[in-house]
Amino acid sequence: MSDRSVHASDGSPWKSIEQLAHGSQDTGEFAQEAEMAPLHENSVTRRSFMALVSASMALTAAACRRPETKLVPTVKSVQTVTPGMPLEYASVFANRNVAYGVLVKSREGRPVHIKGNNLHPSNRGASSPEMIASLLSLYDPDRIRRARVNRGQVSFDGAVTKIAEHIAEAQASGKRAVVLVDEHCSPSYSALQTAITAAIPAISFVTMPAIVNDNVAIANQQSYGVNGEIVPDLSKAKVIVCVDADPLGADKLSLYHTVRFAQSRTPSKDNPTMSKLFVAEAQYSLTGANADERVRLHPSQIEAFLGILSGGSSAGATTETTAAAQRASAALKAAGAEGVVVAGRHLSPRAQMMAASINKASGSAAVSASNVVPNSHEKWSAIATLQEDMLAGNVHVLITADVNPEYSASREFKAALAKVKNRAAINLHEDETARQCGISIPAAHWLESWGDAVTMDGTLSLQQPLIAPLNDGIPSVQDTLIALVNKVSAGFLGETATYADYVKSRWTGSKADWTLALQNGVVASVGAQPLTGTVAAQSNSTSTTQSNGTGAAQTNATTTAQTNGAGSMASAAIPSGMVLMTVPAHHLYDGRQANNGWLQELPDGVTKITWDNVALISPKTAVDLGLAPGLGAKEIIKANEQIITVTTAHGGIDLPVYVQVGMADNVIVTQLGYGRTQGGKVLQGVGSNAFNVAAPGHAVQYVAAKIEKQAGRHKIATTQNHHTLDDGNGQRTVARWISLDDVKDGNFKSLTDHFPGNLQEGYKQKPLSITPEYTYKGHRWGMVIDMSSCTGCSSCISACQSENNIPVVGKDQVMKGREMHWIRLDRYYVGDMTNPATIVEPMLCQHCENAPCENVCPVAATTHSPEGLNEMTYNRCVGTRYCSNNCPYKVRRFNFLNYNTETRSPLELAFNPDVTVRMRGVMEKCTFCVQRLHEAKWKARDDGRQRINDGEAITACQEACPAGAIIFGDANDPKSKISEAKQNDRGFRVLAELNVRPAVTYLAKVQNTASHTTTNHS
Amino acid sequence: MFSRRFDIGVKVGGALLGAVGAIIFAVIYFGVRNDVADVGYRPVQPVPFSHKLHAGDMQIHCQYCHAGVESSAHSPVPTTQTCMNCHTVIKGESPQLKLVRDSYESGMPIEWVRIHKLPDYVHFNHSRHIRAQIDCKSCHGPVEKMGVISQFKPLTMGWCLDCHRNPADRIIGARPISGIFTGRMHSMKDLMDSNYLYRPIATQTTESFAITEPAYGQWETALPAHEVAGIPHPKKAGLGPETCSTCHY
Repeated sequence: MSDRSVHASDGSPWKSIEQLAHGSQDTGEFAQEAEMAPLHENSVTRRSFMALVSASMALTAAACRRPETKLVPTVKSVQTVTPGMPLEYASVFANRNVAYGVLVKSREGRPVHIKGNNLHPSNRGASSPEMIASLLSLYDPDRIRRARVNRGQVSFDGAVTKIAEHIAEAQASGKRAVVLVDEHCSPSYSALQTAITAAIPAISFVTMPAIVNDNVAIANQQSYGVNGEIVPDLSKAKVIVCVDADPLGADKLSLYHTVRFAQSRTPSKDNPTMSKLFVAEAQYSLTGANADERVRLHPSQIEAFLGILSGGSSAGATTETTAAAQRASAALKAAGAEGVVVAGRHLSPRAQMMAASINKASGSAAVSASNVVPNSHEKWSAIATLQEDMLAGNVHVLITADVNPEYSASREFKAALAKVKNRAAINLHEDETARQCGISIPAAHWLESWGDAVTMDGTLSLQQPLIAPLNDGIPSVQDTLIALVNKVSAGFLGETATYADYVKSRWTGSKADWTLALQNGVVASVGAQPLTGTVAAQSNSTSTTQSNGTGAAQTNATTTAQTNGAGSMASAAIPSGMVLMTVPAHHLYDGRQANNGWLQELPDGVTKITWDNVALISPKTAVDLGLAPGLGAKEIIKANEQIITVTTAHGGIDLPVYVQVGMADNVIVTQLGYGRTQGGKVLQGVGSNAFNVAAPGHAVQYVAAKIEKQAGRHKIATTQNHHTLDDGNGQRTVARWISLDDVKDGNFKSLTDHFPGNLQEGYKQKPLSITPEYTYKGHRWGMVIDMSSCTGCSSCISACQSENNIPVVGKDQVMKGREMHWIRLDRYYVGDMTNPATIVEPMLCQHCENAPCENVCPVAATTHSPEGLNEMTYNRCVGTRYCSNNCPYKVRRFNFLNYNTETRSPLELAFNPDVTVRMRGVMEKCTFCVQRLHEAKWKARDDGRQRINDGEAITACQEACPAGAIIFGDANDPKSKISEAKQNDRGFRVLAELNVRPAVTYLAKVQNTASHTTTNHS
Repeated sequence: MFSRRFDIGVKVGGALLGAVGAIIFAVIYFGVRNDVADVGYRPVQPVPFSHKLHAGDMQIHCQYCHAGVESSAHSPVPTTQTCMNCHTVIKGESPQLKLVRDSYESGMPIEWVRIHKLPDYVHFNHSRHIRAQIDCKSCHGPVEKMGVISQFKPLTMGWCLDCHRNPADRIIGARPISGIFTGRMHSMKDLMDSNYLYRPIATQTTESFAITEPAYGQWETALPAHEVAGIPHPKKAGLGPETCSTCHY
């Protein structure tokens, strides 16, 4: 147990502060084993044991036949549905106001997997965790099933009639009837809102997302004359400077950005070019983790940094800030139009305008004023007006449609909400807001509803339902609004009108084009028609929106006259002392999908924390606050899990401390989206609500904070010390990186330094073996993972979870190291604790040729296939866990409990029927998606081929990866992509010196820095 | 040392214990063996459907009702609508078909009792076997002679492997037997002909149908498929590798 902080600075990667303190120790499943953790939570008594034994003997004797099961065919044949055959439908997943094209796989009429649509320009076939996991939200057992008025359940019609009465009263009394809606990117929804307001002027729509962020629209209005959010295209930039922005991490646009950013991150000897990413930030974001050069910046230094970047004076900047800004500025100047500055969208309009002015001056190719996400700078003024009206009693009825202000709004807004007598909620869940409303109406999931969405470049895509609403006859939010208005004003759209009819009625093209657009999921593919041409109704009431795509109709009619106040242009006063920074959670974002186990258990990209939000602080801040006795690794970790109270001008919350290396000092970072209290069983007791301490509307993300230490500790479930590869206490390097200069010079020697002298030539040379070699006559499956383009977005984990029926185990089990993900993202730091660089190494079953797991299985449950797969036969496994102990990569997962069979109905509908649902007591691991290999093989056989062509078999992780970092294929095929990739100079195999011969080749991460030994991280 | 009575007691007791043990072993062993337990499983179905009448006497193709078996892993059980395609005009008033008519009117599906069931951890694909021109009867037996359908083969792993290792001895092959569809692919042209599926197989002309039908009971020893129809040997035709993950994943 040597103190590893010695070689933390020598460039060798380390996993966590705990590892620096105690050496390479696994604190997860394997540490638990040393303590002989019981399999059951409840110990079995002698009596219960006897009862079980006698019962099972009786059952065995009686079990002459399995129990009778039924086969239930449909009554009517469905033309396209053959039981057992999957169908894929194109639709669109609108992550609030950002649209991503999806293909949804449907089996026997139920959606089972979501992936990206290759034809869609925003995500180009890639997926994000939110997109994939929304499948689980569809089958959420906690969704509302019946409408409710006060305490009694009523029919949908009854509830709508009741609201309609309130609206009629509002009309009569001249008061407001307000519909609170989320930000969105649907032209039809915009048009519907306009039409409703025109039909019943008493009704007004107010857009109030959980994270309001008017600043970006204000800045764009001033800089570009665009009332929206201009999205830079990172693939067009060679130098990217992110100032407190996290485009690759916790962002609605992260999927869009990751797809583009990763394009320029894979240099080779022949083409040694890559983009350079500068990041200046206070938190340690995922973007910061991907930075080539990163500077820690206290929030009060942001504008000074931007000032220097734009060639201004260095007044107010520290020497460190000045030096970093000058380096970034020089690189930007050198790049000219190939440089771009990305400022966080939460920053003050002034800061964002400074960034815009730099981009304008350089004529940055990445920034195009026509690439716009619908947003508006008038949201906040409309909300403020509404708040005043509610307090004055001018709002007769308030309908919250798919938003949750009781959770996310400010204290003042909540107080105003309480003044409204008649409130109704339309939502998937009985959430905090619905609980406070007299009337609650269930809403359909997006997979159950019609709709449309517009992408930043103007591409329109159609959303089609995959399944009838699970809860009988529950319509979408838009359908409910139509039904409501029909009740008040009979002539609105007609008695039986639905939103589907409405969307279709706006289509001016031919029926064939409509069908084609539905099939492709993208309207542009019909023939490059502009948005306004195809869905004609876009133009009628939203002429002002043409310039920026859509969405201006989201703003309230009463506030359109208001201009953005000049006051908002003033730079935000960010205190220089202790500052709290509230950021969206990496996977939960604003907490809307908080009741989703897949997202809750998906480790944060940087901290690897699951099921919690925490107070992240730098090591030095931990010492300053008296939470840790000193800066040594062993002392620092004492700060973890201590509880502090963070108090700001807006409120206070208790949070557990977690020391995050690389953060700016005097900053506390915590995530929004946690601390939900209503709306399901999964979200209960998870984290604290950071909206309570954030600035209202989240316009300013930084608030001065007071810290008070509390007694007691709060356990944090972080996976970062679980399943640790044995690096011999730093003697061998598991995660490897080289500098761009090394690539230019062809200096790849450092990647093979783990071989003894006579094998220095490279890993491609095979050590001798005393056992007969495998000969792979047919396929030889293999994988190449490019750590240079991998950003750590975690889409692969989610995709694998959905494809392979991987259970959610819960926080208690995660703390015991029993998380079940087949692929994990190991995060290594390089450099000292102040500001280390990060390497993300996706780790999954390596399908070794000389697999150590295969040798030790006493029942031959894990075997080698003729195609190089390391197979896992569940029904043979008796659960000795020898294989897992013997696995050097620690990728085997054991079902300690019946995680999967104890799911609540109807969650089992989300299972992939092509993959076995595992039970307690069996080992499992990555199969290289063998079910997909079979499917590809069958298809090949039908075409009369003996072999699968390259690209026909795609694993779920590969399919989802926005960075294209995963290549899978047949290594025996010399022309395949993987054969080519395996020849890459950057290739190395993890723990190659063990001679287990993994089938996975990693391509070393490339840092765009000058030399290998120094990281240039200040 | 011990009394004589005690000695006898031990002997008799031991014998009894052994006998009881043997019985318990036999009950458990044969109880859990699928080939003993499952073969001949013939539950009462909600509708007294006769395969003998439909497939045997009427010579209706297997795939007319089990449509999709050539493309899907499952062999789909026909919908009520499939029954009613004929039974609106044939035996429209039969009391035995009341449940079918009721189902069609009420929209409530018929719940058939499942006979052939593999464990969840086994993935069997019907279409692969159909496309390899394996006769349905190889596994399901002489369905056209079954008034009440029953399980004919044990469907155990050993039984699967026996056939995969030595298919020539066990597969009936691509030829018509008592009007049962034999695994020949329908061509698109065939399917466009609205009368195709209703036509007795005897009138259809495909070379594979020209082979004489062996007598019932002799089909196990009849010529293997690949030799009569010019189909390559299953191994050469791309029989999946015999490895665990072929079926278990």
